[in-house]
Amino acid sequence: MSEPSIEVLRGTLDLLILKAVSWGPTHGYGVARWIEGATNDVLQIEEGSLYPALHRLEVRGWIGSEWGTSENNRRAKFYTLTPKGRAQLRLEAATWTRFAHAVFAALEAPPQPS
Amino acid sequence: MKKTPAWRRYVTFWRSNIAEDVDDELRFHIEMRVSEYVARGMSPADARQLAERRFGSVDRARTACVDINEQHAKTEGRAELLATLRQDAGFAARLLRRHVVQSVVAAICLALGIGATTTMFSVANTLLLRPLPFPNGDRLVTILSVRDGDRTAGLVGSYPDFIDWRARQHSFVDIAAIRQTSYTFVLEAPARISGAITSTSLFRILGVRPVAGRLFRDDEELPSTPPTMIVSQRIAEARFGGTAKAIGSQVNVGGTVRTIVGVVPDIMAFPQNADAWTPLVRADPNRGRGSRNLEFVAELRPGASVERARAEMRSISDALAKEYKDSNSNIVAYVDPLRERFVGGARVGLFAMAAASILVLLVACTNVAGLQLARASARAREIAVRTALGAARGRVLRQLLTESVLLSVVGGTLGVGLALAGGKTVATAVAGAVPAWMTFSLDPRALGFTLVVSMLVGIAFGVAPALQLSRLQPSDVLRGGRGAFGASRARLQNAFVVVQMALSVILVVGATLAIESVVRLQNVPLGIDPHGVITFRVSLQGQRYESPRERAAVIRELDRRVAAMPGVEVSAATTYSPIAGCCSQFGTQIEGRTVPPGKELMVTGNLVTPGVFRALRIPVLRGREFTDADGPDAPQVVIINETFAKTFWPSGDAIGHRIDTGGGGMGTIVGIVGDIKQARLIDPPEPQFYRAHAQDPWDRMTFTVRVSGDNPARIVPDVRRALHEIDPTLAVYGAVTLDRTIEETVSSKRLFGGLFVALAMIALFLAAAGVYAVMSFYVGQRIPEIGLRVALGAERRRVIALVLRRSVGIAVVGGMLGLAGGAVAARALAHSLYGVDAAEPAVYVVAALALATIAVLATFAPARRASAVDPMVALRTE
Repeated sequence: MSEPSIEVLRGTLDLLILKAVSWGPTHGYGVARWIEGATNDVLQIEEGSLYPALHRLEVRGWIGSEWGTSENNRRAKFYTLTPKGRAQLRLEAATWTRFAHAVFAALEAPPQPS
Repeated sequence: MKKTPAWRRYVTFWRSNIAEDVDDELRFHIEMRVSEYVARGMSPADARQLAERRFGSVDRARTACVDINEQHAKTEGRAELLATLRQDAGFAARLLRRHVVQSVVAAICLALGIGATTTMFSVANTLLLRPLPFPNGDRLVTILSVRDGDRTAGLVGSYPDFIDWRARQHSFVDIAAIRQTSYTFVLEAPARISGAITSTSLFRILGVRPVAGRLFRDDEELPSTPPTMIVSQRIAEARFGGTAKAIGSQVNVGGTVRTIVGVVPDIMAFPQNADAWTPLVRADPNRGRGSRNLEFVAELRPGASVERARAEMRSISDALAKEYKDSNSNIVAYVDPLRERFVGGARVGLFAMAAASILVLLVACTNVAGLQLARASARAREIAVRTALGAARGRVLRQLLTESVLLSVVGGTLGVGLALAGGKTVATAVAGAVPAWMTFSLDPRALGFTLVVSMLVGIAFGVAPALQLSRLQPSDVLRGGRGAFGASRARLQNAFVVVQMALSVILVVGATLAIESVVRLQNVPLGIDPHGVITFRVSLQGQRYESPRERAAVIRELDRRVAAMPGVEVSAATTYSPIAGCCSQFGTQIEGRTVPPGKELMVTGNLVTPGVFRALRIPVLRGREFTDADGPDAPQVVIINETFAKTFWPSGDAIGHRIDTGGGGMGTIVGIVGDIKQARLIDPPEPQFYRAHAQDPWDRMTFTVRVSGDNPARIVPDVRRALHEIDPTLAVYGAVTLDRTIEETVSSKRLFGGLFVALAMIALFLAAAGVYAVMSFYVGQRIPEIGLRVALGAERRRVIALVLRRSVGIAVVGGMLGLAGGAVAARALAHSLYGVDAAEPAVYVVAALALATIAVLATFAPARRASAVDPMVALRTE
C-alpha cells in the first residue's frame, strides 16, 4: 500500500466484475481478489460496493448466480456470466479501450499544437 | 414482451430469504478475508478489524442489496400474474390448435355471425344513431307539405307558403328553402354540376364554416344584387385551381355571369350530392302558391320539440288553408327530423337485415356450442383428471370460458374485417343512394359493440359445455363410463341443432321472399322497350331561351341532327325519361266535368317531340301520334294513356274530348297510347298525358334515342359536337342507357335480396355442419349397437334407415318450428317487399326442401360410416 489507491468509477466496476466472472463461476470474494491481482493492487475497490453492483448486474440479467460450496467447503453464492453479459462485456471493453487510447494519445501529443 | 420462464414463479418461495441470503453472502466475504489475513500471519482480531475496514459499511451494502432484490421480486410478481393469464390463454390456444379444423370452423362460424351483426350495427349506427355531421344536427328538421295526410307522398312546398311559415312560426331559429338543380358551367367547355338554389339561411342553419371566402349575405336574395355562387372544395380544386383562386372567379352559369364568393367543405354536399349553390332570388309572395317546387330544412330553437313544432306548423297550415282555399286546402306542413328525409325509408329494410343477421349470429352460437359440446366428451377425461388432482371447479370453468372467449374474439376480429368491407354495400341495399355526408367508417361505438358481442357470444356458447363438464364426477369418468353425461349431452346437442334448423328455415323463407320480389320487379311490364335506347339531358339556359320559339327550335334542331346520325333509328325528346324516379304532375281538368276545390286531378304529363312513341316503342292504341304539323299555331292536341282513357271514358270514346292540363291550356285528345312506368317500377298504372313540345316548349328536355347495334352510348360524342355547333354555351349531360337506368333502380333491391340469400346460405351451411356433427356423434356412440344388429342379421339398408330416421326426426322438429317462425317473419317482410305474398305456399316449400336437402346431405357420411360397420370390430371395442 505504498502508492495511493485509485477510486474506481462505477461503470468501470461493472466492467471489471463482468471480466472477473467471465472465466467461470466465481463468488464475490473471488471477484474482489481477481481485481486486486489483475490490477496489481493499483485499483482498490471498497468491497462493500462490490455486492450491490453484483446484484444489480444479476437483476439486469448480465450475470447469473447459484449457491454452491466454496473451496474451503462453505456455502457461497457463485456468479457466472450470461450470454447477454458476455455481449455487454465485449461492448464495454471496446468502449473503454477506445476511451483509454484517446486519453493516451492526448497526453502524448506535443503540448503546443503547431 | 419478455418471456418469463415458468420456474420464476418460485421466486416467491425465495422471497422471505432475500435478507438472509444477502447476510450469508456478505459474511462469507468477510470470513474469507479474515482467514486470508490470518494465513498471512495476522492475529485473528487484527485480521477481522482490517477485513471489516476494507469492506466498508456492511449495513449500507446489505440495505442496497436487499433493496435491489426486493424491487426485482415485485416486478417478477407482476410478470408472474401475467404469466398465469398467458398460461390459461396459451393452454387454450394450444387446445384450439390441436383441434385445428374444428377451431377454424368455429372461428369462421363466429366471424360470419359477429361480422354480419357488426356490419348491420355499423350501418344502423351511421343511418340512425350517429349525429349528423352538422353542428346543430340534432335540431335540424325538414318540413314537408302533406296532402290529405298521406306522408309517403311528401310534397315539396311553394315560395309564398315559405314566406308565410317563416313569418308566423315561433318554433324555429330559421327555415331554409332549397331547390335541387344542376348548373351548366361554361369554362373551357360547358359542364354540368349538380347543386341547389337555396335561401341564404341554409348555410347558417347547417352551421357551415367556409373553407375560403364567405357564405351568402341576406341581400343576395334581392334581384338587384349581382349574382353570386358558392362551390364545394372539390369543384374549386378541380375547376378553378384551388380554393383561394376560386374566390372572385367569374363563371358563366347558364348565361348568367356569377361571382364565386365562398368555398365550403365537400362534406356539406347538401342536400344530396351538391357541388354548387346559388341564392334563391325573392319572388312575388302573392303568386304561385300552388306551385310547389321547394324543399325545406329548419333549425329548431334550442329546447323546442319536434312535436311542438309539428303542432304549430299544423295550425299555421290550417290558417293558410282557410285563407287560400284554391291552393292550400288539405295541405298540411309536416315537421320531421332531418334524418328521416334520407333514411326514413331504410328503417324497414334495416330492421329486416338486422333481424336476419342476429338469427345468423344465433345459429353460429348454437353451432359452436354444439362443436364445443362434441369436444366435451374428448375433454371429459382430461377435465376429470384435473379435477381429481385438485383443480378448483371455478378454475376449470374459467379455463373453458377462456377458451371460448378466445375463440369468439378471434371470430370477432375477422368479423370486423367483414364489417369494414360490407358497410357501404349494406347501406346501399337498405337505403338506396346515401348522401355523401353519411360515412361508414367504423367508429368506437361500433367497435365497442363488436367487442361486447364477441365476449357475450363467447360466454353464451361456452357456458353450457363448461357447466356440463364441471358438473362431472371425476370418479365416474375415470372409471370409463359414458353414463349420464352422454345422454344429457346428446339431448342438449339435439336441441342446438333443432334451433339451428328452425332459424335457418326462417332465413330461407325471408331470402326466398326477397328474391321473389326482385324477380317480380325485374319482370314488371314497363310499357316500353328500353333495350338500345340512350337518354341524355339538355337544359336551355340563358336569355335567348326566354323565347318559347327559340326553345322549340333548338330542341327540334338537335332532334333532327341526332336523327340523321349513323345508326340512329329514332330520335325524340321528352321532359322526363321513363323510370326516371320523378316527373311533373299537372292539375288537369276535363272539359264538361267539375271537381270540388282541393280535389283537382293531378296527372303526370310529358312534353314530347313527335318520335317519342316510336323511340320508346310505346304502342299507339287508338288515334295517332304527334307529327311535325302539331306546331305552335296548329290546334292544341293531347295524347293520353290507356289508364287515363279507361278511368274517365270507360266506354272507349276518349278521342275528341278536350282536357286542360294546366300549362298548355285546353287541348283535344287525338290518341291513346299504352301505359308506361314513369317514376318507379313499383308504381301502379296511373293516368298520364303527353303534349307536343312544339306547343308548350319547356327548357329542360331528356332525349330518348333508339340506336341500332350494341352500344347506343357511342353516339354521345357526336351529340355533344352537334349541340356545340347549335349553341356552344349548352351542355349534354346525364347520358345513360335506359337499360342502365332500370338496372340501377333494381340493383339496390337485388343487393338486398342477395344479402338476404347470403345470410340464409350461411345459416344453412352452419345448420348442415350442426347436423353432421350430431349425427357423427350419434353414429359413433351406436357403433357397438349397430355392430350387434348387423351381426344379428340386419341389412345395411336398415342400418342406413336407422341413422336417417334420426336426422329426419331432428329436421322435422326444426323444420316445423322454423316454418312457424318463417310465417311470422314473412308477414312482417311482405309489407316492405314489392309484389310478394306472405301466404305464398311456394316460399315454404322452398324452405322445407332446402332443409330436407341439407339434413340428408349432412347425414350421408355418418350413415355410410354406420353401414360400413364391421360387427366383429364394433363388438370388440366395447
